[in-house]
Amino acid sequence: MDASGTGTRDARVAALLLSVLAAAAAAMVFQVYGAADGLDPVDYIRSGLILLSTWWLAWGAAQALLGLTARHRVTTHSTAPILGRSVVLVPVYNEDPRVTFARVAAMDASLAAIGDPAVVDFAILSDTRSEVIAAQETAWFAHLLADRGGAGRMFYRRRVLNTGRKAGNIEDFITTSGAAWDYAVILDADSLMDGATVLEMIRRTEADPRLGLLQTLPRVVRARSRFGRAMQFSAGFHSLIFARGQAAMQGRTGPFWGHNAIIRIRAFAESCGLPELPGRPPFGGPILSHDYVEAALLARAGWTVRLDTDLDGSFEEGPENIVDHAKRDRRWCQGNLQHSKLLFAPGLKLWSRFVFFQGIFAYIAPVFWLAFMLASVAAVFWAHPPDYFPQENWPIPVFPVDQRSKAVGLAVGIFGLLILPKLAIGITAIWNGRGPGFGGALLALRSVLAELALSTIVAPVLLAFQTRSVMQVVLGRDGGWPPNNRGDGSLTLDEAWVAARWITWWGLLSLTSAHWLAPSLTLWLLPVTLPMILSPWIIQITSQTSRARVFTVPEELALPDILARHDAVLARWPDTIPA
Amino acid sequence: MNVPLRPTTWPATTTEPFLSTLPPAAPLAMPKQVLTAPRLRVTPGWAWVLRIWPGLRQAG
Repeated sequence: MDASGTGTRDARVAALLLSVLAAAAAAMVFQVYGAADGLDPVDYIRSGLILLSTWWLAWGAAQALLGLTARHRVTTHSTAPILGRSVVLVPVYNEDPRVTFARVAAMDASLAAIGDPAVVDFAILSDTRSEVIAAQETAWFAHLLADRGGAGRMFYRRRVLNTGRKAGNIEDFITTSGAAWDYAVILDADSLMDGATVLEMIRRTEADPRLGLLQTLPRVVRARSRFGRAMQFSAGFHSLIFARGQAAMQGRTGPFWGHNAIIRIRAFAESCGLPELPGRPPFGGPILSHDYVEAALLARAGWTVRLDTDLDGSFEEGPENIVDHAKRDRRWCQGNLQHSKLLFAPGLKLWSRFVFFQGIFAYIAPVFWLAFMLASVAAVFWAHPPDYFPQENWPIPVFPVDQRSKAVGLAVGIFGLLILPKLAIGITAIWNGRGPGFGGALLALRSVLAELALSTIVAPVLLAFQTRSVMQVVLGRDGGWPPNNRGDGSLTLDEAWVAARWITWWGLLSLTSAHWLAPSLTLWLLPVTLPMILSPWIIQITSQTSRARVFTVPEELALPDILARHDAVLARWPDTIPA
Repeated sequence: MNVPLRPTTWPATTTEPFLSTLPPAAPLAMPKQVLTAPRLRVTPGWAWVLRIWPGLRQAG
């Protein structure tokens, strides 16, 4: 990928131009449609909402297009000796210590198998609040040390107070022990990285003295449910292209996603001390989406923050059902909206500010769609009755031009912005020979279509959850720091009903009121309201285990070495040990 | 806590009931960054505009 200044600028200009043009065209078509019965204030509001919403969709499409056309940088894997000392940081927060520490054992074994003399230590940084789990952590840590002979190179510590959450956890590590190492690979509790990848990241960081942070593109693995496997497929198949587009635009200013990345500790220490924001949560207090801010601060201090999409062997796990996805999204929503306080922080690169803006827009865009639907219902009351005799003393009636084709065309265009990038990625992937990894060209195409269908059904449910999150944050409700649910994730209908019945009621209310107030819109609103009404069933069905061939990913066809090592450690370790 | 958590290269710094086996003698400063935008102050220029604004409106 061309990360030079000119290439990055060209990519940014192209994406902005494309998306703004598409949005302006959509708004203009809508104006023509609205003008059929005379333009009224609601038409202008709706045009504005179409402009903003379409821009967001077109922006995503432009990113995919850039990803498809960006020159892919082929990096020669260096074998230069590593001089610096590195540490792999594993922050944990009420996780299952057996599974998490087994990941450390697997990564250590993967590194040992290569036999590189480089110093790569491990530090498990616990923010666990539960005393029961904390006791298990110390017991399992002793087990890990004995199993891997890790004394002196594997460390564990638990904080008295978990100030600043994960960012505070890393900061606490750096301020107490950071000078003992040069580089730190930051992971999540569910991350797994191949030893060869870790060494390659260290080499790349060592080779570029201005590189402050190097991000990998983690592949989602171990999904079992229908929803989880669809997300896993999407992450494996589509995200690579979207990430290439993002990397082409961000150049030296990011991104950082908080894990599966390496930092130059000195650069991070001098640039990324995060203050608490003035005021009370959700907008004040500790910075939640700290990764974006840390990337912006590194760039502000002149360090390069880079995403290398060619680095394999980087894995994470994802939520298995829509409810867990929504819980994680609630946290991200609060974190991203909090960035509104940082948009004008002094000295930031313009693109870093734009990244904050994008993050905020990602969560408020669904609100614009909702507002558009509400305005469309309201527009019925503003609509002028047709004037068949616009000219005085002219006996022949003039029938208004039917502009419904414009509305249909606009809907098709907007839907196209949603599906065309994914279809283009599908066709290109097959053309480029990526099909076999996903079970063959035909199965890959089937999976693309199935993912499109599933995401179309699930989108209104996610839209409802996102809108609620935005409302909660705007009304000042702090979401706290709930631990992630790991494991099976299958939900009963009762559980799904409890989590989503409010969406069903809102869907029913919207459909009946639209039918009563604006019957002509009922059919248009069905693709949104029907999934809302059926949301508990959708959540329950998609949370069930799936062994279908559709959504096959390369990691299911051939288990990567590091995952096999993790399985082997878990098979060898006892289920429980006395705490 | 009676688990053998004694690293070989650094002494453990166990602070009961919370435990750390991290190397204790390697602190690194992490200064807090300035992230809040400076507040927009009413400069003498602004004050001047504000002073003549009612007159301008009246003239308009």
